[in-house]
Amino acid sequence: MEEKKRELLEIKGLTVQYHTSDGIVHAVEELSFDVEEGKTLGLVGETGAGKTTAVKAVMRILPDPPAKILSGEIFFEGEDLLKKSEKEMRRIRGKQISMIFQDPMTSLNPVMTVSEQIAEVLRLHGKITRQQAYEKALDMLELVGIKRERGKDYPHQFSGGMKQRVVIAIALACSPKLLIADEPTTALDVTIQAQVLELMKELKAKYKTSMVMITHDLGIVAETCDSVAILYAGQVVEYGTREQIFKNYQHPYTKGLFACIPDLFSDSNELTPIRGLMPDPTRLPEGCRFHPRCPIACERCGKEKPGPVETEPGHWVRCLAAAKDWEGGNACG
Amino acid sequence: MKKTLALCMAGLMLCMSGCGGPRADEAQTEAGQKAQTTAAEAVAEGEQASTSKTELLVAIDREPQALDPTGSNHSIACTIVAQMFETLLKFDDEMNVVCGLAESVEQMDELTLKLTLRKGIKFHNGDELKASDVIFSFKHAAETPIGMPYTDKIDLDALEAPDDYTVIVKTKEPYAAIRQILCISHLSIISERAFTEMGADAYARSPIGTGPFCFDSWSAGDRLSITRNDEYWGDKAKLEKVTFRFITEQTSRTVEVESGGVDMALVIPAVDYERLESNPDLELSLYTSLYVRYIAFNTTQGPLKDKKVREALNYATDIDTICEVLYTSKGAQVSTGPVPPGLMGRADGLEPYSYDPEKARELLKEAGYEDNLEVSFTYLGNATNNLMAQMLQEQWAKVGVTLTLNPMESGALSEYANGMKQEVMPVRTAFISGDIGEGLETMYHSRSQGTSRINSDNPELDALLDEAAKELDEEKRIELYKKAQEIIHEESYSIYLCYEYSSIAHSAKLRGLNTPPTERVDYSRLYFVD
Amino acid sequence: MTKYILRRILFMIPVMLGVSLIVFTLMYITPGDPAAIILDEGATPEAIEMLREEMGLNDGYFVRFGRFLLDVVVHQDLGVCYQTHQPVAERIAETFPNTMMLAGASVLVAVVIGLIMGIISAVKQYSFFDTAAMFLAMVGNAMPNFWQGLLLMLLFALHLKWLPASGFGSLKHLILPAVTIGTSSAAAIARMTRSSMLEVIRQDYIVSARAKGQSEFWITVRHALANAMIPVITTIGMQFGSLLGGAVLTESIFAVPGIGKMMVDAIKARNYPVVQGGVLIIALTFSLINLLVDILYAYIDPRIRSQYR
Repeated sequence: MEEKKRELLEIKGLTVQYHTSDGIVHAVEELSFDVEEGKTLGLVGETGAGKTTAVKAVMRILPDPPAKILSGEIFFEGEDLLKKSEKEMRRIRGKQISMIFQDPMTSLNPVMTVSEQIAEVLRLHGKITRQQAYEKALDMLELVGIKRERGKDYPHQFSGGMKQRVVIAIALACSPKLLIADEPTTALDVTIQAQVLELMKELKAKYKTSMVMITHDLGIVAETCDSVAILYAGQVVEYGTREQIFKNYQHPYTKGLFACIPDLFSDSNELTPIRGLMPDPTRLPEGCRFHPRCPIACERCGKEKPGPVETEPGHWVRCLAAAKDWEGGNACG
Repeated sequence: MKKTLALCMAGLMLCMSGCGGPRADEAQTEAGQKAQTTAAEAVAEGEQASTSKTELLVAIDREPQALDPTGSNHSIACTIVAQMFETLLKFDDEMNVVCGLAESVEQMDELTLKLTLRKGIKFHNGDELKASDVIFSFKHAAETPIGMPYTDKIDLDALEAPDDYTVIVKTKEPYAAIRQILCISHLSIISERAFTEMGADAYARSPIGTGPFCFDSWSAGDRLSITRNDEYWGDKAKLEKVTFRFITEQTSRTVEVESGGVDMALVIPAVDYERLESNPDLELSLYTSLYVRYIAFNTTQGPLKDKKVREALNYATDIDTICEVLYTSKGAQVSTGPVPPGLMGRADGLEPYSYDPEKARELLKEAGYEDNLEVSFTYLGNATNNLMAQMLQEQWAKVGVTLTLNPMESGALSEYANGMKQEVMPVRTAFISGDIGEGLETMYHSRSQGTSRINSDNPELDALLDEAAKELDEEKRIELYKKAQEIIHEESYSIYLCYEYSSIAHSAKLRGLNTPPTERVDYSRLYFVD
Repeated sequence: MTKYILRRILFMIPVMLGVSLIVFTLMYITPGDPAAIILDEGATPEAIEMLREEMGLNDGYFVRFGRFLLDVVVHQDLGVCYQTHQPVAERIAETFPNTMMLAGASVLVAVVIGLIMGIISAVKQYSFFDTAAMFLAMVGNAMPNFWQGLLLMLLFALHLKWLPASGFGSLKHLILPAVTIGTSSAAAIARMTRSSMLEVIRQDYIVSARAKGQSEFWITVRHALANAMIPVITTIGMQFGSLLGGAVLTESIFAVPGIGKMMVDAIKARNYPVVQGGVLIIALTFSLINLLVDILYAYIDPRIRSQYR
């Protein structure tokens, strides 16, 4: 019998559009995924797949004039975040759910000291004095491996890796239940990357924080994630545990992603990309969104939108071919 | 016995030739005195001077450079000086010469004047006025660039003070206008002691004179005030204090007097006249001054050497229209001759050059130009002159004359004109000394080449002017000047435009304003009514 | 930091020298004789020549400039006004503070109006307020000060009689001229603030701040404004600096005894000592203000502070 899983975050049927002067961008459509308590979900996809949009929707920090949340529910600890007031959301942001961003060079305020920036989030979410906040901020710095004395320094006085550590310190200062990390190491070089990931794993274990790790790097997924959701053109095309995805991927897109990873031991001179480009989000293809690039697409794929199919318990795929395998029907010949 | 009688007779005769200036005409002096008494009576009779409002605020158009008599040539500075300083003789409101600091003046011979000072006149610092101060003042004025042209005619070495209250003034040659010269504010009497102690610069900024007002304060760029001299020897001022505010922007001055920010404003632009006149709380005084405006022909340049050309251009100009447009009928009086009204010796009845383009063309043809005359118009580039230039261009084009326009900036313009390089130029000249001779010489004598914009060299005219300057007999003098004006008119040296009005707008509650052509308002006569 | 300041002050010397030389040369080659202008009407050639000798105008270019430099450096003497014989230093000391007050008041008006308009415009970009504000800014900038000043004078001094038409001395006298100048300056500041703010609110750290749970108000004030102000401060500093050169037209209309009007009158009258002295003081002040703005910069932006160490 399976354990009753406790879902910290449940996204159901989220649809987000951007209304721009160039047309309506369908960023995310009928998106659904869950994050278990204490676990890390990897959100994988190419640029423009809708990963950032999805998580910003969770935090409700989408830029409001262009962005519109059309439908969906986002349950956090059982409550629908989309129904909450701005005031209530402000209490959640930084305290219950934290986010760290991709580019450490620009995500810190250049005219505030790092300790001030950490202290800010502490004072927003607790009745503590300036002095106490300052001390706590310095504690957090030490936690992320930065000397206390550097608290009075400004962001430009730190290297990229250290800046990101500060960002992590800010994010974890109030011990949030969920940490959303949007490509936290993409802007860093590989060795620093390893350090930062190590740090995140440590802290996650220590604080028992759940995490959503957005990345396009399958290596990072392998190292840090418990479950994975593959996004393509605003939809989850495959979803499962790390083992399920890595060992038994089903979706042609996922196949393509794994095929991209160069093999150390092969002799080939060329990489194997997925042919074609991400579709224009204002003019998405009919039927299955991936079908123009899919090596096994058939006529039906251009007409029908595939729904999610459970190929194994907990392993979902959005593909007509997958459905065929499972149900033994005859989708594409 | 005979000797004593003769002396008495001589003395009697001398006394009879005393005050009243070159006009031994008793009636005139009496008239002058009558005017003063009527004014005094008016105060006594109808209106009571206000006891609550005794301070006057005046808006003037420029800050004086200095407040000593030889500090500045600008009219307003000279007027303010005239409140604090006095001259030996002075003009009354009808431009007659009457006694000032001197209680009598005698013509000893054709070169010599003997002036007797009043006794007991005190400077603002308490010192008594003595003849030595007079001599000092004249000698000092002769050393200053501004005073020099006026002391020119006086034989400074021959100045004498036989006693503390008598001054002997000798001219180098017989000079009829010497009494008028002694009325000019530049020849005001300064205190020898104060001046030597303070030094010229300090004296200029904090002057000490004998007049009905004393210097009070001067805040650079903002305002200056004078206060009543309670020790004044004559009729004391009615106002306690007069403050002059420097407001260079003409519209601002008008707004200030309209809104009551000041009680009086000088130099009002013509466009505001109507509005001010229709305002029951204000009064507008317009009066002809010593200024004439005309368009001068530089007789040393090219085609303008020819009299016919000058005449032709005169006939080609529609003066009435130009004056109407530039100054409006309220702003000025169209000229009928070179000398403004009010000056003694003015020739009335000169036949004006009518507007006759046909005749102009004829004359040009006779002079050898047919549609090919080119002249240039050099002028200070402001709005009024630009308009004038355009109108002239149009009018003269109709008779085949091409007028090229040459606007310049003030500093550059003076230099250019002093070098006699210009051809046609608009000019504004003043009969500054109040004497007809000085003015005519400044404009038409060959000596004035380089400063007059006409630069004429007419031996006949020169001779007339020189003779008239020496002619002590009043009637003969007037005859000579009338002849001179006829020649000037005939030679068509310039196109007369207008006699400029001076303007003063003031509160209807202010009384006692006098408006002589010299623009020297006597502030001691002003007072408010409630 | 001190070394930097000292260096900057040292640099001011060649600047002022250069400015003096240029102005002196310009006045030297411009036609127009100060003596003739002083004497005005009734000037005979002899009188003019006499005055020229007195004033030392017949000496050569280098002699005159050398004399000026000597006087300034050795005797700290800026010379004497050609027209009134008042020491130039005294004249400047009387007029410059007035201009400073006017400039200060104008900048205050400009900053208050400009900043508020700019911030709201940026935060509510493309809204009605934004368009209206930018339109008003353009109008305020385009309206000539002269005209605006007169209009205000007519309305408030003549019709409503709330304020004095001209003059100087009390707060009431300061209002109309300060508003006249301030509304034009406000336009430049509003636009600069708006564009700077717009750039800043798109930055990542603003989103970070939001993700912390910070309120919009504090994000605008603490995060956005602090960063956006840096270029705006330069604009404000430059405006103040140029106003110290005297807003000539406004000073003339409102009869404010300031240095701008003094300078223009001096130039027209070829009053060389006043022009030279005035220019020197204005150049000095402008340089000092530039320095102050740069120091302020360093104070606000820590990145720049590091550069100066």
